[in-house]
This record gives sequence, structure tokens and C-alpha cells, in this order.
Amino acid sequence: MPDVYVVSDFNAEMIARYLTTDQSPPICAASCAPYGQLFQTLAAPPQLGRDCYGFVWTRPEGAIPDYARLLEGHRIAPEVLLARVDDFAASLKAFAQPLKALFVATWVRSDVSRGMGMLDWSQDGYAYLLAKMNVRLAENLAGIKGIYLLDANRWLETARTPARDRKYWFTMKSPFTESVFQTAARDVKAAIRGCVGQSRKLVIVDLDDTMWGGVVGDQGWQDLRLGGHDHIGEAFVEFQQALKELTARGIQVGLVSKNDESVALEAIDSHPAMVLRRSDLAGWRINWNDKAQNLVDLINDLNLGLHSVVFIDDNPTERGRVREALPDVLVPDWPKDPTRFAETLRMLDCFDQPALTDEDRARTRMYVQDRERKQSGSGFASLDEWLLSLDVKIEIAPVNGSNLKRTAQLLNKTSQMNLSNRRLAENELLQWLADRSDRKAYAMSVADRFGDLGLTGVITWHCGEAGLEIVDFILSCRAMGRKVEETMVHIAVEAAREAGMPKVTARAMPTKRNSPCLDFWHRSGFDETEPNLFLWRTSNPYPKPECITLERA
Amino acid sequence: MDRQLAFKIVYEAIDVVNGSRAPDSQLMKSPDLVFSGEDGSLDSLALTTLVLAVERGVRESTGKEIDLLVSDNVDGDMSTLRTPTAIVELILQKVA
Repeated sequence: MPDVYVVSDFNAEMIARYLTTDQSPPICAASCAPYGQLFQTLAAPPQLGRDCYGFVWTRPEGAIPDYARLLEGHRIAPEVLLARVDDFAASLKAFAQPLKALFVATWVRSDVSRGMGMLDWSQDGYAYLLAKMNVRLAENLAGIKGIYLLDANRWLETARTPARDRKYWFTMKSPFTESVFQTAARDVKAAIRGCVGQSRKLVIVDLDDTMWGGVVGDQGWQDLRLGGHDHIGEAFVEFQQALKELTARGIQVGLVSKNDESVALEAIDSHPAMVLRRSDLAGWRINWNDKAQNLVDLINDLNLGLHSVVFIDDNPTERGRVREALPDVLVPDWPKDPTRFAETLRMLDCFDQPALTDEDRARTRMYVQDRERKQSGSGFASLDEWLLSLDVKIEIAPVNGSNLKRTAQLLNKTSQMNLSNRRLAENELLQWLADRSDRKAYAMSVADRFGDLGLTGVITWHCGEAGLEIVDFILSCRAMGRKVEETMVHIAVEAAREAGMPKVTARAMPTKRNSPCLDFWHRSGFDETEPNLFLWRTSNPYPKPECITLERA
Repeated sequence: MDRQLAFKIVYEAIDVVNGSRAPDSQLMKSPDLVFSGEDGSLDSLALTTLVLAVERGVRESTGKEIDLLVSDNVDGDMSTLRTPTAIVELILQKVA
């Protein structure tokens, strides 16, 4: 259970309670720094566990005393304010050091006020200077590993009750109402899910009355409500745009629909207002079978787990069926009104991720290539023959600044082909490597004749008197089953042989999700000397698969 | 305002407080639930949250501003805020 330590200049007990009682995973235990001890806590924090997250939420006048003087009517030069922001950011960086991650709320006005009225956005205006302070804070924290700014303004905008009530301040020293704290707690939980790799990766969407208005099988694609001079048609276009936005963040879109496949695909290919085309889709199951079964088939096909998936359908019966049959799939309540579809999707808090890599941006293209790759396989007599035809190239490089972000992402998000299920942030991985000189970490980039799969594999090990021990053995699901696994083992065995190590071992930590990894090790040729401990004696080489070209960066 | 509406407002305020409580320590909506005092189920933060949520509910339902936390309401044992029934009586007295 992760701990969350909340630091604030106001009474933040309420947010600690919401963080603790929120039932969405992961369940957290939150506590607060003493009230009125903001600067003391940041300068000399208590002993916090390695798995502890921090959350700092301050009022601008509480964190930056010169801003409080500004609000009292004093003239404060912008550069003075910004220098104080620099100081505050430095204290946040120091405070974040021992933490798993630190979340920092952006500053918002804590009272209901017209500020300086029509001068609020002048060079001396409160609103203008507050915006500059926020930007300066963001610039200070940009690129700092393990520190993330969260948008507090959104918590106030989406509060179910008025966000501010001065009576809360006078009675509880709380500038905001409970609804704001509840929303903030959910956002912090979403960020933690992102950090521990529990964000969703695939949205599976129904077609009729979900992606477009109407039933394509009855009325034909020409008469669907999509775009045009029609507010409902425009709403469906906006919903598709919201789905397409997700693909730019590395979240895939798939279709499951009860329809004739050819009719539905013709609509996707032909309708002039269609935003999502086949090239935007990771896959689909369009037939008359049970939707839950179709979901399972599609998810398996994409090598993802049920816990990675969101299912969207306008039909409450279908939603209920999937909820019941596949409880790990997130099935959000869905509005009846299509004009609410896009904002409902955009407000889902299950897609947060701590970094966005080139691999994320290119993931849809990779799935499309994979579809083509699989289609190409149908003409080959054997798997080996097909693999040989793929012309798979693996480039291996030591983990360094250029690939660290993606490496950490794989460490934290990969569940299926993951030997130890160790979760490490970027700074923790660097620290682990620095702790012992015999520790090594390598990143594997994979490409074939259909395209670049990107950085998809990570292997780490350390050496001892007994031999080389593989610690992390991680491969993205999209590269599984192409002999990349065997090549990674080959690399480790060769390293051991070069170092004169007599054996290579790998200890698997079974989880609910890593059975593909255990299956691989069971058929890897290693001896299982005790349950889940695999051993190779390096007197024998571990051959590189013939179908793989291996290059070292 | 009738008594039924006043109870509805108090029970909705209990929902607000329950939002920050664990599933196994949810408050039951009963007229005799003891909020404060020796057997009270709420600490001062939760009790204040409840009272402010009640005041907001009254404001939204009737347009009237009431203050349940003024000193003559909160005596030594906070008896005027001790149970839903007590708070309902206070609401009816304030909006009358």
C-alpha cells in the first residue's frame, strides 16, 4: 500500500482523508504534515519510506510571502516574485529526493475575488503575476525526474459544489470545499496509477450510436449522423476526435461491434466525416458474437491484459454484460446524450502516464504494422520460416540518458513478459546501477521489414561469485514471440562467458499477469533447479536465433 | 421549510461526510445518530464539514442563509448539533 504525505500551508487533513478512503486502486494511506509547518517540513521532512509519494498543495500567498504582500496592496516587482518561486522550487526539488514521486498542485486564487478588476491582467495585476509564477514554477520543475505538476484549476472547475467558501477558511483553515479535495485526491490517485504502470492502454468502442449516430446495417453509411449541419452529428465527430487524441498519447483504440464487418468497415473507409479510419485502429472484432468474448479475443490478439482496457458502449445492457463477465475491464457509465460523449471520455482519469515517449506516439502505427505482419504470416508453412522472412533486427545499447525514460516506462508498465515485476522510477534505476559496479542494464530496440517497433526490451543483471544473475527481463507485448526473448538470453549468457562466470541464473517472481514470462523460461532450455529459479551453465553457449540480426550501439 | 426537507438536507450532508470515510465506517442515516459528544461519531473537522454542508443545503433549498455555528448554538456539549434530529430542530428554528 503506497503512502502519501501531504504538505500544505492550509489544513489539508480533508485531502488526506479522501486519499485514504478512495477505493480506486492503488489503495493508499495518506497523512499530513503538521498545519502551519510548510517551510519547516520542506526543509526538514520526517523520515518517509521509499515507497512514499509526496503531494504539495499550497496557496500562492502561503508559499510566496511576497505574493501575500502584493495582495495586501504593496507593489512587488515581478522579478522579486519570480526569485521567490525559484527558491520554493529548489525546496521542492530537495524535498522530492527520497520520495517515489512528488506531485505539486499549481497555484490558484484561494478566495472569491474580482482581484484588480479590469487591471487584473495588467503588468502589476494579481492574475497576470500569478500566471507568471505558475509558469516559472513549471519551468523550474520541467524535466526533474519524479516531480509532476498537477492542474489545481481543473479541480476547482469540476467541483460539484461551489469550489470556494470563505466560511471553510474561517472555520477549518481550508480555502476550498470538500468537493475540490475529493477531485484532487482522485487526480493524485490517477497520477500514482500512472507512476506504477496501472494506467489503461486500450479503449474499445462500440459503433452504432456510440461512434456515430444510427445503425449502419439498417440505414447505410450515407445516412449516419456524423458531422454535417447537425449538433448530434458534430458531437459524434468530436467524440471521434477525442479518441484520436488518445492515440497520440500512446493509448490505442479498438472496435467491438455487433454488425456485418464489411458494412461497418465500408462506413469507416467511406464516410467523409469519419475521423477514425482503419489506420487509427489497433484492431477490431465486428461480428454477431457475444461482446465480452469479442473483447477477450481482441485483447489477446493485441497482447494486452484485461486490466489495460476501457470499454465504451451506449447500451447499458452490453456495459452490464461486460462488467459482469470481465470485472478487470473498466466500463464507465456512459451518458445518453451524445453531446456529452467527448467530455466524458476526456474526463476519465485512467490514462495518466508519467512520460510520453516516441514509442508512445508511434504505437498505433506499430499496431497497424503488426496487423500487416500477421497477415503476411498466413502464407508460410512454419513459424521459423515466417520469422526468417520478417528480417528482425535488434539493436542493444546500455541504458543511458537517451533511453532512460523509455526504459523506466517499460519497467513500470510491462506486466506479462516481466521476470521480477520490479518497479523502479528513472532515478531509482540509476541509483541501483550506481550502487554496484557489476550491475548492467541494456535496452533493446527491435525493427523488422514492416517497421520499427522501437525500444521494447530491457535486461539487467549483476554478477557475483556464483555467476551472472538476470534481475530484470522485460519485453513489450508487441515484440513477444519473435525470438527476441531468446536473443536477450543469448546476450546475458555471452556476457557471462566473456566475464568468466560459470553460470547464469534467473529468478522469476510469479504474479497474476506474468505467466507468459514463466512459460518462456520453462521452455528456454534453462534448468529449473528450484521452483522459478532457472540456471544455465556457461560451458555451453546459448545460441542466437538465426532469424535475428543483432547490432550493438 | 417542513421537517421532511430538513431531514433530507441533513442526510445529504451525511453523504458528504461519508465521502471521506472508509467503506466500513460509513455513518448510517438515522434520526438518533450521535454526531458529537462522548459517544460522537465525528471529530471536529468532520462535524464542521457536516454543518457547512447542511448550511449549503438550506441555502440551495430555501435561498436563506443560516449560521449553525454561532456561539449560542454551540454550547459546551454541542447538544444542538448532537444528532440529525437536533440539527433539524435548529434548522427549523433558524428558517422560521
